[in-house]
Amino acid sequence: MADIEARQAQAVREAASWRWPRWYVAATAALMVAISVAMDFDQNPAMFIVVYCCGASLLQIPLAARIRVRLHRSRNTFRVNWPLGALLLTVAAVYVLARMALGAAGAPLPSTLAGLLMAGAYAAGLPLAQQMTARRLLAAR
Amino acid sequence: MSDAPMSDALMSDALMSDALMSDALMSDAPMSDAPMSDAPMSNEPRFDELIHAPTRLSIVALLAAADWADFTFVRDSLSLSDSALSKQISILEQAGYVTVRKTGAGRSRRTHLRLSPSGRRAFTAHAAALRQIIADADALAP
Repeated sequence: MADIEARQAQAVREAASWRWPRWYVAATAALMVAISVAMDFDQNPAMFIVVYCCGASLLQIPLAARIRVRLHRSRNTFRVNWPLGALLLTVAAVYVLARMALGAAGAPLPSTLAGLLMAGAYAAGLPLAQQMTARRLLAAR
Repeated sequence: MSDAPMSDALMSDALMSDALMSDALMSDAPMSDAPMSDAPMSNEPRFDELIHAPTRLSIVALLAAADWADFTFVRDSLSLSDSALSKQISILEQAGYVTVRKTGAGRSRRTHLRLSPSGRRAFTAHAAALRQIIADADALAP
C-alpha cells in the first residue's frame, strides 16, 4: 500500500512542479497586446476575438508536448485549480476597467494601454497562481 | 468531478463495499489472471495477480493518479529501462488495462499511457483487496 501511495504521490509532485514555459507566457502576453493594439485601429472585435482564440489554441500545441503527466479528474478539481481561473478573470477585468477608465479620460490609444496593463497583470499573476495551485495540489494529495 | 483525492476515494470505495468485501472473502473468491473480461464491474475487492506483480503494480498505481502519463515520465519515475517498461506495458495492454497512444514523428514522437476504465476498476478492486488483507492481518495480530 505504501508503494501505491508513493507512486501516486510521484504523479502529483510531477504535476505540481509543472511551470508554464516562459516562451508561452511571452507569446500569450504578446498576443494580448497585439490584439489590443489592433482594436485601437479597427473596430471589429468579433474578428479579433476569433484571431485571439485561434492564436491561443495554436500555442497549446507545443505546450501540450511539454507536459509529462496530466492528473486524473479526481485530482484536477476546481478547488485545486481556482487560482488560475481567478487569474484569467482578473486579467479580463483589468482590460475592461482600464479601457473604460482610459476611454472616459480621453487618453490616446486606450485599448493599447489597457492591453499593456492586461499583459502585465497576466505575466505578473501567473507565477503566483501557479504557486497557489501547486500548493493546493500537494495539500490535497 | 470529485474533490476527494484518489487515495481518499479508494478508501471510501473500500468502506462502502464492506459488505461485498466480506462476501467475497468468505466465498474464497478466485484469484484472477485478469484478462480484460475478468475486470470487476463493481468496486468489490478483487485480488488481481496480473496487477500485483511489483513493477506492474507501480505502473498501474502511477497511472491511476493520472489521466495520462508520458512514457518517459513513467520510465524515469520507476527507474526502468525502455525495454523493461515496454514489456510490462505490453502485458497490461494485452489485458486491456492500459491504452497506448503514440503521437508525433521523429524526435518529437511521444507515447502516452492511460489506464483504461477496466484497468482503473481492476486497480481499485485490487487496492481494496490489499486493504482488506491488511485489515484482516491486523485483526489477527496478538
